Amino acid sequence: MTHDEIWEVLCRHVRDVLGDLQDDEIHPRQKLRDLGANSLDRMDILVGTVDELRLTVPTGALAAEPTLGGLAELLHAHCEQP
Amino acid sequence: MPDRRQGTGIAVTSAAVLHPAAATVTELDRVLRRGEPTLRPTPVPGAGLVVPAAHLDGFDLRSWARSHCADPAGRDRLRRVAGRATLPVRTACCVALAACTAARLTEAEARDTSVVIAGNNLALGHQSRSAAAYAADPATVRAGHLLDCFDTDALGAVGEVTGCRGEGWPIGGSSAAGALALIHATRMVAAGQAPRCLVVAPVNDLSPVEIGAFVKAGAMTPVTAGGDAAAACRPFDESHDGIAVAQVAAAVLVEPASEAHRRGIRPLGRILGSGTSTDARRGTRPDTDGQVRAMRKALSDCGLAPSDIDYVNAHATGSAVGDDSEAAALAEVFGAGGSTAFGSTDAGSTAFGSTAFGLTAFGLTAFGSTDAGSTAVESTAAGATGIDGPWVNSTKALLGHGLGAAGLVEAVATLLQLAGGYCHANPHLAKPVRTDLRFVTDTITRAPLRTALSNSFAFSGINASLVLGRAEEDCP
Repeated sequence: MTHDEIWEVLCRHVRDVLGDLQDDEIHPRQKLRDLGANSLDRMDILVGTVDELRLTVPTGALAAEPTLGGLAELLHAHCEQP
Repeated sequence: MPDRRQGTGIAVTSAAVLHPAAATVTELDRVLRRGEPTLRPTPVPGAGLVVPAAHLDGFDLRSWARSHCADPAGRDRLRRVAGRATLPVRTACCVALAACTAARLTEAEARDTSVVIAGNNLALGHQSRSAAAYAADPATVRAGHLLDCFDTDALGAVGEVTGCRGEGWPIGGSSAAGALALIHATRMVAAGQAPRCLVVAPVNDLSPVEIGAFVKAGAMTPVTAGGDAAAACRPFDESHDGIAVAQVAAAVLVEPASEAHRRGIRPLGRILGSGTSTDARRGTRPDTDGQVRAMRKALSDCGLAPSDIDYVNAHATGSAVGDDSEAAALAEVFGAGGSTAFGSTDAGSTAFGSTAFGLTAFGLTAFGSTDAGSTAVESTAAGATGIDGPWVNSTKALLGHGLGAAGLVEAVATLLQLAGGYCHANPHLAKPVRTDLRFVTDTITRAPLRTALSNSFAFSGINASLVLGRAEEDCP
């Protein structure tokens, strides 16, 4: 799975959980907290994305509060290569 | 000789409302003066049923913020905190912010302001949709549901939006919650336990399940084809056959009047006294005796006689059983001989505001005729004239029943009428259930009002009465 595909799925779940976002608010340097996501929202975004991508990622992945770009990198690293 | 109705009491500094027909207090005042019901035929999803209701269909927080919040930072905070919350929490945040802004609270003042949230089971509509989605596919469950499913979400969200971080009290009480919350806030302020208190009643959002149960119970009559939803709620009329629910939110800031004056604000009015009682009985049936006890407690709390009350904002939902019980209770408290019972109850109640009047009030019961100035009356219909006692109307005929928010919305409606010197019409009251009460007819009544009593009664035998007064500076 390419980085772009992961980015697309992640952004879809960000929009799905947070709704009501402007296009320019979603970019790799953005942090979920700054988009108004509370801890439960962040969990819903991570779990939704991971489930759709069929990945196994420890829930502690959000502890360091990565940027959206950092989160996509992390997911990519956990991606099983075919 | 001073009029004891001008005693100090606790001031309602500011108020905010959110109803399908009134997005501001000024608009609410207009709706009341117009005296026309705002109820619409409202389909119940999945039930093939249409009921009379006032629903905030498509309420959009962003557009509310654009028209009611001048501060861009405040708008952003409101959107960030509450944009994705349930309808009760979104509406609570809007009215809370509006009431704080109108009260001109500084950041420091907001910090030590306490918050009371009125109502329980606020997000039943959301709960029902979540449960249905879960039944269809358990994978739809979200961690975020943990916030949405508890009424305390309103407390946290209101605190974050307004900066109020004093004590926090979620107060349930079904249809009496709004009044109970206002009473608790007034007690905290009167006792010096809080410098001021923000009371917020979020929309009490029902699901189709509760609407269906109201219909099955015979407490709500569906609108039939060609039926008139606007005329569906007819409190105190012999033809009354049920309630109409309203999605309505309200907020008020309660503090000593001196505090409002210090910030250069003319309060909306005053809370003079209150009384509550319970019926010690499970069920939905009202109890006239419990209602009488609540009203008499409220009067004795501020040392007033029944004859001192110019106007009663009745609980009157339009349900036959409830209206009849309250009409009997009003006749007992305010009818001929009712005043002789004054002071017979609760000599030892812990009265806020009682210090303003004290026991000397008992020696003054002959003072102050309520009818002295009530001459400019536009209403002339039969049955309303020649009867002594306070004017009686029901705001639910116009706005619908706000459930947990009703008591607070109606307290605001009562203060608006006191300030404006009018009692709004009872638009569909043609044949009153009693002839010994002074009901307002289908026309607005203009009268110089100073003191009013507002009732809120709830399932499970909870009765609450508030005595409200005009702002001191408005008193002649």
